[in-house]
Amino acid sequence: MTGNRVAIEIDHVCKRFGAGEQAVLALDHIALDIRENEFFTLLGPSGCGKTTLLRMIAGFEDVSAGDIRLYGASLTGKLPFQRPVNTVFQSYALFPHLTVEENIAFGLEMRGFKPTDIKPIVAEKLELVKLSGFARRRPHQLSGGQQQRVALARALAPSPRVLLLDESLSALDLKLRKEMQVELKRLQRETGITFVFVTHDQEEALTMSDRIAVMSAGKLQQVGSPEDIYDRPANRFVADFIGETSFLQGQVAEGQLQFGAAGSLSCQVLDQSHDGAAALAVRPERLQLSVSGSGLAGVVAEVVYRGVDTVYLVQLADGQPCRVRHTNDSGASRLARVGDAVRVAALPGAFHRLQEAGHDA
Amino acid sequence: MQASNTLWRFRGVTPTAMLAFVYLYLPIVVLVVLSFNANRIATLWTGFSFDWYLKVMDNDNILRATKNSLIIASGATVLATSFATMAALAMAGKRFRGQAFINAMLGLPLLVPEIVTAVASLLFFLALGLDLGLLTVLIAHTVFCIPFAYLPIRARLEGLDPRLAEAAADLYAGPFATFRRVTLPLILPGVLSGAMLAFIVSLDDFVITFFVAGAGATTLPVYIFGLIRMGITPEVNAVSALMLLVSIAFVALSYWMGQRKS
Amino acid sequence: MTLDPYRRTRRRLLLAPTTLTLLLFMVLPMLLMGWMSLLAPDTYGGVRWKEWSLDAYVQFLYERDLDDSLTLNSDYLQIFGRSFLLAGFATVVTLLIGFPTALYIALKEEKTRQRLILLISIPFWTNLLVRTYAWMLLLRNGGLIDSSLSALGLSQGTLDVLYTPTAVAIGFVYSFLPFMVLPIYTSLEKMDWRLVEAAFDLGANRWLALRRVILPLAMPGIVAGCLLVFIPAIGSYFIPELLGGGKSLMIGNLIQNQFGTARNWPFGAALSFMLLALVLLVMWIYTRRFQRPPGE
Repeated sequence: MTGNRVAIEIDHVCKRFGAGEQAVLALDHIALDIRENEFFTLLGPSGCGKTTLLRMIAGFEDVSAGDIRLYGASLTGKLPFQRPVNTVFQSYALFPHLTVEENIAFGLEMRGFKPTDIKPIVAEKLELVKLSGFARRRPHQLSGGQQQRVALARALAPSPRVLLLDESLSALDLKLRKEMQVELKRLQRETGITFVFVTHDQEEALTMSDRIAVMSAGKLQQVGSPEDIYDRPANRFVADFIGETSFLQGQVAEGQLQFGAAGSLSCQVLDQSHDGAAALAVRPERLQLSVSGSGLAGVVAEVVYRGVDTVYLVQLADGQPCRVRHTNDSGASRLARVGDAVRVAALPGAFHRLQEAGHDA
Repeated sequence: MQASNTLWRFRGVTPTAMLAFVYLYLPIVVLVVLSFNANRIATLWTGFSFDWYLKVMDNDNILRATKNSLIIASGATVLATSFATMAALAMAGKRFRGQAFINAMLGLPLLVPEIVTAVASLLFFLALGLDLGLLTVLIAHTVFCIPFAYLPIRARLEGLDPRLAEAAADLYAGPFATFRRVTLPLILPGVLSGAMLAFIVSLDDFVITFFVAGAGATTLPVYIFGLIRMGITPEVNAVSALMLLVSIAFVALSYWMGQRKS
Repeated sequence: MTLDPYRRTRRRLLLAPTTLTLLLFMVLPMLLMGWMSLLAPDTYGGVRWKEWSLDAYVQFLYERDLDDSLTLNSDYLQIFGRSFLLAGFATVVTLLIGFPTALYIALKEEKTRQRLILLISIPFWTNLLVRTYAWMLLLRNGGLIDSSLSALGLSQGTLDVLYTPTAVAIGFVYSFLPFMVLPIYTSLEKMDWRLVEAAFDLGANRWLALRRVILPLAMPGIVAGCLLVFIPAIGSYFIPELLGGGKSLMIGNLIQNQFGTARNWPFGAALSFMLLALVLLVMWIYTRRFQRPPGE
């Protein structure tokens, strides 16, 4: 249900910390549009600038250069309490001296709502996050997951144009996190509010987002749908950061992918517009291992059993390592042992040619 | 847990500690006991009496000095605590240039010997042509009360998640609403204990007050000093014991409050 | 308004009252005091504002004879020396009593620890003047100690200790003992006692564990405690006045005298300034070695 109107326009934003010689460029000309009603995720390793960007939208950090616009209106010069966006903090930041309902009512009170108008909204939000019986509790009497829900209800209560979520699930344990992922997605659908979600967890990003912006070292690496990001990584960083990837150097010639002594495969490259050396990325689940079939020649260097699947680390005959995943759908039978000579075949479209061919960055 | 282990019994530690506690409390106990002594010769016990307390209550000079002490302590506490709270809020934010200088300045009244502060203040007031009186005492007390009020408030702010103030701002609370609704309620124990320390320190101060008080603004400690210099009398015992009890009550109260809040 | 200027303005407004108060009524008076120490005294107190003079500092070391020649006069130096000795003595004795006391408290159970610390803090916050007076009651001839000693037959005649430097030393140790115990306790409380267990495990006896592990780890507290005793002791005024008996025993009394009977303001200012310099010197050495002042 993604509309086409742009909710937030991030227009070549830079953030510089410090001054003069020691200045650090934490964000380097970030430009992207976040559309109305979409679940948008900023994904990247810690220190990549994603939280800084989120804090700039909320108004907790100044923009060093560039501009951020909300529905066309510049946010520059607006203090946090003057911006119609709300934040769910990483540590929740619930007011410890107020009850759950007082926490949720806080933003409405500050906006000057009458007490009689506040009550039904608070009740409605409590219902929305399934905490109706907890109105009089204090934050410290709640579990982590419940606190998380209160933080959500509190941020949703004043009906913000955009909801910002800063690593909001990272404090929860795995099981609860999975539950909350579904929950967040439901809330976003039901409220129709634009969500901007910050996370370093690629799986979380793929699960929940309509679109993802991958960031690294203050730079935007790629913006796109989860499928775009996973199947068509724009560069080596994105391919490496999202999912498992083997990087191989090959030669494209006459519709063939050649790997020296390991042999060659036919027509497996997504982008084969020009011949020559190619930096290739391939997902382990798109390769197939066999002892006697066709494919690239190699030797099994290591076998890692992981329950659902087994990963084989294969040393190809030309010296390059590559990973092959085999689903254990017919029991934990092992295809090969360490030291076995094997063949590696590829599914159609398995190899993705990276932009910076020839560079090993 | 550690005490039960014989490993941890260092020789001589327990007797020295006992000696220290006796040493600290013997004079206080003796003073309080002697204040109930019926005898005119202050150190010779002859019988129980409440007379000296009644005499103290009846002494206009003492009552006037007490009133001055309370006025000054209240005034200095309110001013110092407000200033210190504001300063602590600013110092708890992002680092800034000049922060070390302000820190050093806040440490100054604690560091400089009282007699030096007293002389400097006296000379300053006289050079300004101010009449020594309640105002000069109030100013001097506010100055040395600020660090005492500041330290517990700053410590409390140290333990406060800065995200809470951000969350308030995010939920449309301006700076005053954020302070009134979020920050103040959360640092209140620190503010109260700061205020209490400021009050005790002001009430107890002698040296600085002695220099800057002039004739009209005699406080209780200054008055007691005058009495002591004239000689040891049962009235001095009684008023001193009262002074002690007030301080002890305050410390106990602040301890009790600290216990309750945490 | 963007955020950074907003924060800057907010910070300035919040700091203004404290900064102005301290600058105007603490820093400025100190500077004025330094200036006045370089002026000539007026006859009945006060200073001659336009007459520069180093007399106050010369007077500290020399005596001006009738024929205007200067002869060395060690009277004031002796007072400084005595102040140093008394304050130093008090520091050493409070350390000798205070460290075992802090250790004793630190080794107790949590609940007991809190109560004992309250017991140490109460004298810390009660009126020093009154507590000093209590010692007059104890130490005077015919007082509790004197009469107990004679009753036990341990002394002939009177005790004669009040109004002597000994009485001042007793008073100092008593008054400043909490200043020593509290910081040492704080550093002991923060200590990881498993380190001491490790020392025992590695074959140290109690004495070695104390000397090689506990003492070094408690050092910041010990140094802070020594400063907190030494600084107020050396500038003390009414303890020597009451227990030492009116003679110009220590710097504090000498200073007060310049504003009382002697009426020599520049000399009083100069003495205060020298005392201040002394304290700042001690603090400077301390911060050079231990980084942060004890106020923080």
